[in-house]
Amino acid sequence: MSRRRGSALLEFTFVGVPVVFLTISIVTAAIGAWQFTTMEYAIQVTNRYISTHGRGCSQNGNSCTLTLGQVTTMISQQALALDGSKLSVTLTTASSSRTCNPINTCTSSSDQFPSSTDNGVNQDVTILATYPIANPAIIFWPGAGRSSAGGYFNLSATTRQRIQF
Amino acid sequence: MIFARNQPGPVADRKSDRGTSTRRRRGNSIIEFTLMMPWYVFLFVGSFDCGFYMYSLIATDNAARLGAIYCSGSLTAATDNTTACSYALDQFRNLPNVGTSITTCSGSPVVVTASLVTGPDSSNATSVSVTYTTPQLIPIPGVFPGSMTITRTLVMAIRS
Repeated sequence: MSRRRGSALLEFTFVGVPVVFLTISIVTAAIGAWQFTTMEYAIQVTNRYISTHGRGCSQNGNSCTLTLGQVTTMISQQALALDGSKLSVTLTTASSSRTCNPINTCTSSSDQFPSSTDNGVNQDVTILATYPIANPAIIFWPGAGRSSAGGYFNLSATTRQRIQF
Repeated sequence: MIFARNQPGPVADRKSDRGTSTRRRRGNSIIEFTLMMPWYVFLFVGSFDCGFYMYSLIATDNAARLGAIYCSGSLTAATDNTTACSYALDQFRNLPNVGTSITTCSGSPVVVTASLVTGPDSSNATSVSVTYTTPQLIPIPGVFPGSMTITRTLVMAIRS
């Protein structure tokens, strides 16, 4: 009887560690998938918003041009699942690029975005967002953006749209 | 009652029973492990494949939408496969069989076709179709084929 008890404890030790790891990994991967979808949605909606607030917003009496603060605030508001102190975004236009790492550092910026030289119709605006999540299981995800030091994996999403107005 | 050492009796019988029982339990463990192992393997493989297919579905969806947004810009853009392809490919860059090496959308893994059609309101519209073929994953017979071809088609009215 006492020998059987010992082997149960041993088996639990062997099996328990992978089971705990697996459970944590499943939960974290699910949260990661949610965060990725949210981040992708946020930048796409924001880029769509930017594409309708181009040069036309400063012509013919219109005054609806956007600031970098408004753009980054919109991303933050749409990305409910993300922590603004970890989310990094890079906004690229025809001749310039602005990086907000983290995004919180740009939410009060009053710089016009896209700038008056880069906001013409048919000019591209690209938003790249990256968000770190920590889980050793995620490093097995194939493709670009593998784990960096410390077991962190950077989720990344990008969107490119043309200014229409 | 006293028994001689090598003589069969209650104590010897009990010892003999214990040995048989342990061996039987060991045998059961091996059978249980053998029966359960394929399920665990398929569970892992299935989860991996599922995650990959879902990511591919989301990427294809986004690619079709971004392609359609571009093509809906004008009558000229409505059939501009090349530029629609460049917008679509942005969404597939994280997938291992696209990466940065694929630059055209004329054949597998990514095919993009844009055409001028009549929309539901009888006005000009663009129809953008994106087809993506996933890389070969581990197949599960009868459930996952190992590779999946996803097609998304979007019709969007032309703005001008």
